[in-house]
Amino acid sequence: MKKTNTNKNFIIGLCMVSAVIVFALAGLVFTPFDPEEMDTASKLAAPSLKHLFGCDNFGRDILSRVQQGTRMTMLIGLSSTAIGAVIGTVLGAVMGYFGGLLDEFLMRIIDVLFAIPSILLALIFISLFGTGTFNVILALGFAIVPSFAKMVRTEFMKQREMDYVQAARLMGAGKARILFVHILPNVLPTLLNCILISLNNAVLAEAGMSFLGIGVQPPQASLGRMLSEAQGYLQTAPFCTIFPGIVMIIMLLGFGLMSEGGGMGHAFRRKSKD
Amino acid sequence: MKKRRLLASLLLMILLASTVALSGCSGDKENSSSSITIGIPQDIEDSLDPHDMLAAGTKEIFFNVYEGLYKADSDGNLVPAVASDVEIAEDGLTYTFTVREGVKFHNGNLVTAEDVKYSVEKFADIEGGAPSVAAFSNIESVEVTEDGKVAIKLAQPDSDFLTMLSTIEAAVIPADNADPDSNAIGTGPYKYVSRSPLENVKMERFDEYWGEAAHIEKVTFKICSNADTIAMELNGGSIDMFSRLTTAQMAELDMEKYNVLEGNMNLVQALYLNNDFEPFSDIRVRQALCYAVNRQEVLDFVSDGNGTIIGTSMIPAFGKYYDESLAELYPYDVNKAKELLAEAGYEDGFTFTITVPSNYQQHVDTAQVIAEQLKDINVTAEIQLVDWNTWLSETYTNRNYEATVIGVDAPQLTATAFLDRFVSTAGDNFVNYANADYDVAFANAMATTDEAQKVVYFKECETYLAEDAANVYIQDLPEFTALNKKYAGYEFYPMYVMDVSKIYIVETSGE
Repeated sequence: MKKTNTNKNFIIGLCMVSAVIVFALAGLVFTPFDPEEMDTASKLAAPSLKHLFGCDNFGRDILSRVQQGTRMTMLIGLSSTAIGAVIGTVLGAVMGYFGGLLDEFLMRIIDVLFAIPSILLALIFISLFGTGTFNVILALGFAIVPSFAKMVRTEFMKQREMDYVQAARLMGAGKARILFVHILPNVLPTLLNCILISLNNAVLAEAGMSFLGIGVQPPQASLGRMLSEAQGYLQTAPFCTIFPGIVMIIMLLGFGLMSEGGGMGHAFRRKSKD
Repeated sequence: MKKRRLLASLLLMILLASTVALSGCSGDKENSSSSITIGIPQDIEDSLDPHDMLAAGTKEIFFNVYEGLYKADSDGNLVPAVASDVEIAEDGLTYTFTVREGVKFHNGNLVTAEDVKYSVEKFADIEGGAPSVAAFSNIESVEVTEDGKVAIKLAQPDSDFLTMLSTIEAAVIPADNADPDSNAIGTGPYKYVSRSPLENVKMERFDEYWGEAAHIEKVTFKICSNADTIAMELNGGSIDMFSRLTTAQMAELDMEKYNVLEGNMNLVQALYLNNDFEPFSDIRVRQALCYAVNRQEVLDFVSDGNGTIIGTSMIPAFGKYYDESLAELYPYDVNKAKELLAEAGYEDGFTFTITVPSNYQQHVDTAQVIAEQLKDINVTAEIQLVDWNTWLSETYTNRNYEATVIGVDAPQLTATAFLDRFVSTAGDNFVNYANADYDVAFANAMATTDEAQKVVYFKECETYLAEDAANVYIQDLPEFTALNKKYAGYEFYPMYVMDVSKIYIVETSGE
């Protein structure tokens, strides 16, 4: 009974995320208007048949901008998570499997980094290397590394004494092979869940950074950037905030439900029952 | 039990009724006695000594309390205040002031030549030490002459000296005030009453003012530090007036209750170009940008069509130095812009970065509109938002930038303050503008003591800036002040002050 429930969560989440992805990707082929084209006549125009989501304070079509912005936000979320996951997993695997002095040394660094909130890490990175989409991706990616490394390390430490690993070692398998062919697949559920949560955090962090003006640079749209630009018109033109907000909620909720329902959902449950 | 409940509810009703009635009463009372509550965005400084005031927000309201020997009026002209008259010696080194008769301090004492001497010595730090305003280190000595006048001697001639004396840092204060830091005594139309930190500052009309008396008796400056609630406070009636509202805040205002007065911020907003940066080192490229920017559209987007288009580094409020015709030197003309770019060898356009401080929404918005407009001439403007301190150090001080959108103001009411930065050797010439003719014209303006001649030279400077397209000049941003319809008479000044003395209550029938 419970199992179907968790699966249902995963499927609902998947549907939500897919819907957002389709909506954003559609923007690659077609947007109703040029997302950067300004028009004095339709400044802060309310939603209508012509402009389904209305227009912002520059007369730019909000629907087109939400499409562009969602794509940008997703691009940043996915790329930064990819960077964080790859580096974090390799680091974590090496630390967890080999242990010893290297592990001690790296672990202390990660502990220090862990003590600093990841958004703050990203802020430091931005102030060192400057703003811009590429730098935001790098900044968020590196900010995610510690959490991945820590999670994967624990899993690898658990796995390295298992019989199948011992067997592989006796068979004379290479270290890289043991790490990434034998152990990694067994860590995958944890990893997947970690990735979903990171996606969520990265999307939120991007929005936060763009909101503060240090993320995506205007006139590029991103969901956070749009929210930030619209905040002065919250009372007079609420649609400027509502539509990017709704898309962001659907996306975040989708990732959240997926991580809750899928992958580790079962693994956690099995463990807690033991 | 039941009885008690009945009694309780009865008591409650009486209480409610009386509250309503009483609050109604107090409302009426406020209407009949003359008072006004003005919102200010931040608390005043700790020290009330005018000679040490630093924050613009403090000086702005203490403009009503303190006066100098001279004072600026709302057109930017200097008029005598505590002095009734001045004689300037031929060599421009000695200024002899006649102290106006019958001017009283807020403590009731008459202003004497000794008080003036004391004040000048204090703000000029004659006993050595550095005065808070650098220009005052030029004061060599101050004497009370035999016929009761005050003679100030300068080390070097300074044609802006009278203007400097009209600032609040040169206010005349009583010599016998032992504690000017907390006991604010001046000669202005209002006297300081009290302050409550982070809450309010109270002032009262000074009935023995030498000039035209203020209309309203009691003024409360209420500190409203939360920008998001200002429109609500105005609509709810807890403040009657607020200066420098944004267009977004204005959109939330209840227009039944408020008049919105439009003035100017007295800033020169422009797309400032680093004249050393390739391709901006080519005058044709700079001119092309001027032609390609549709300034009316910028105004439409950024400030709902308000604001004043300008064409050089001078504000319209500064009437006599301002040359209106320069604003029309580069009408919006995309083809002309393309031709100029082609001439300069950039027919395919180029890419540059506009650095904008992220805390100034109006500048960020302006940059976005400009970037969009420049696409028409194949020029790609990338926008980079930076925080204010980074902007100050990297862009302004180190001049490490390509272009920036900012508003430049003048610390004093002098043409010099706007134009001296474009002299090629000036330390604050952050656009790296260099034109030998400009330097000569500016030096001529500084050297002459004849006002008419000065105006001619300054206008020559402005023309060089415009014709060289030193920057893409945009506008003097509009400033909106909301004033409850009960009041009228507020006037804007070409500097950062808030003159309460001219506000009066409109006689309204009914209500």
